[in-house]
Amino acid sequence: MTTPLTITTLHDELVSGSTTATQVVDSILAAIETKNTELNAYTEVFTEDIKKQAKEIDIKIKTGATLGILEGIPMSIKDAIMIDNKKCTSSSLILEPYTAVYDATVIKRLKAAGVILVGKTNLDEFAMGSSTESSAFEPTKNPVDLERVPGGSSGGSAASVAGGMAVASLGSDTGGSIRQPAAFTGIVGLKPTYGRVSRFGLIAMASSLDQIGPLSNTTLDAAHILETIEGHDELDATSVHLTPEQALDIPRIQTADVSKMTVGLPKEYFIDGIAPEIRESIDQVIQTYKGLGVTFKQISLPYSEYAIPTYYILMPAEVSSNLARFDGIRYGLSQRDSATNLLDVYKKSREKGFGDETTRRILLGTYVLSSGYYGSYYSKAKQIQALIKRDFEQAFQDVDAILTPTTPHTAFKIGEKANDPISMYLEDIFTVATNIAGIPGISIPAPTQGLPIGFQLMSTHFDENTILTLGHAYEQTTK
Amino acid sequence: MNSSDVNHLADLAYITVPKQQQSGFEQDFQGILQNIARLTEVSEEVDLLPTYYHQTLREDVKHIHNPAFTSDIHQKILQSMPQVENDYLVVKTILTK
Repeated sequence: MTTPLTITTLHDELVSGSTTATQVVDSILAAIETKNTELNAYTEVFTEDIKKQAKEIDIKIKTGATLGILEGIPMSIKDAIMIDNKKCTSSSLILEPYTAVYDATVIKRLKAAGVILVGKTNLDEFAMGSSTESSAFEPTKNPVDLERVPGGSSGGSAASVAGGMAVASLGSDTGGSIRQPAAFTGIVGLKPTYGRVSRFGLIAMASSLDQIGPLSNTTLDAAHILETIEGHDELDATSVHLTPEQALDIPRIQTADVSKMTVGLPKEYFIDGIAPEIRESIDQVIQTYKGLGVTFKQISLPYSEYAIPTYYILMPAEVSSNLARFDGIRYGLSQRDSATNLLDVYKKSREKGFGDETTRRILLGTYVLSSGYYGSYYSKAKQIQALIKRDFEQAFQDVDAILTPTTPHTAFKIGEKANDPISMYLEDIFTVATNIAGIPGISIPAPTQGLPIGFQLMSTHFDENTILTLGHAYEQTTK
Repeated sequence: MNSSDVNHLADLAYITVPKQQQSGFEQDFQGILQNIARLTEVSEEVDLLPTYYHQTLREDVKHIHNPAFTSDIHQKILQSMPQVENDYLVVKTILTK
């Protein structure tokens, strides 16, 4: 297996002239030509656009102008993030005819940084899933084992990076949709603190939980991407002005001494049911960190056991509201020709346009918000969300970060869980609590004798510097 | 939950669930609802915590053309619509006699 390209390596090669942007793009397009038919990571590739952009970057390099760190870097984009004048489907039939009418803020920032946007990647429909099997445009396969899923919902993004068809990608994470596919495919995936990255232009799933974040081959690459896309956006009222302490500090990430750090191991995350190879791998990770002088401490996050049921109330509730806009009236698939009246347009368009999982979550959300049930379900879930947040806040008074497995087992076979929604929902068991609490989480490749395994680091709100520092230190020690 | 409950929810959500899928959804919901009913085990209540960040709302300024969008955004939106007449979206009759 060839050494994966990284942003920092590629940047150095472009600056030194040992490669050109055109050569990089040709190589990426050749990889897509060879692999994408089988993997189905990309649903659209912007071939002519990226060839033209690469030529422009090569001209710029020849003039001796300074090249930004992300300039000329080929990245794929999850097809829930809007790029102006490009199709944006969220892998749903209901948006199959839709072309985006503006750039998402994160896209504007990547374009300004000179990133080469290679194309749009496959996902579970409307980001609902943990395997990319619910896409209306066929599943994506795991590049490491073609009989297995790449995870989800950002499975196409993960497969594009792990398969050498992009140097990095942007995905979105509502309950684990960046971190879990990163773990399943052997790459890095970062979910930032809620509010750190603008959601303007992200097709909303659960607006109080969604965050856009990078998938990449190294922690440092993830840091460079986050530094470019983060920060307040006046078009997203939930995005924040970062303080100097909260802003990313890449020199510090590269050089900080982790020997003074304390990392918590929550007993609720080291339970029966974790696959033995995951346990063994995490033990090795812990030993590596101990060798760097990191101190470990057992902690408790008692309300973690309620994270999954809490998530599967809050998330569908917001989904049922957010997906009400897809009604066949203003954009997307419309069944107006066969409908007799307005309500018929809504029902027929939505029946034809939505897949089973999307329909299931809309109905579940409608139920938990309905009269007579709102108090038992939604209000209760909001209470427990506050308790889960409190667990983390109390833990971070004693530790700098928390370490857990990212997933309870390695990538499962395609079709294995497709007809068992509850089993699929339990895939998120170690990831959802970070979204519920709004804290950042990163998945980093862990040692493995077989399929990829990821370990997860979490820190308090806006302290991405700590988990990126720990992640980078681990990578430097184990490379 | 039974199939008439599923149909009622579908009506509320403006979705049609085909007959052949109704029992499947019914079974799925039984399992999901059993799982989420665990939350009733928790008796502790807290005052909902303040958000850990502070929102900054933008100034309420009227734009003839919002600089956040390209100048042809109006045309692009119209092009997305299924049926347009003189720059108006055409919809089915809402009120009937």
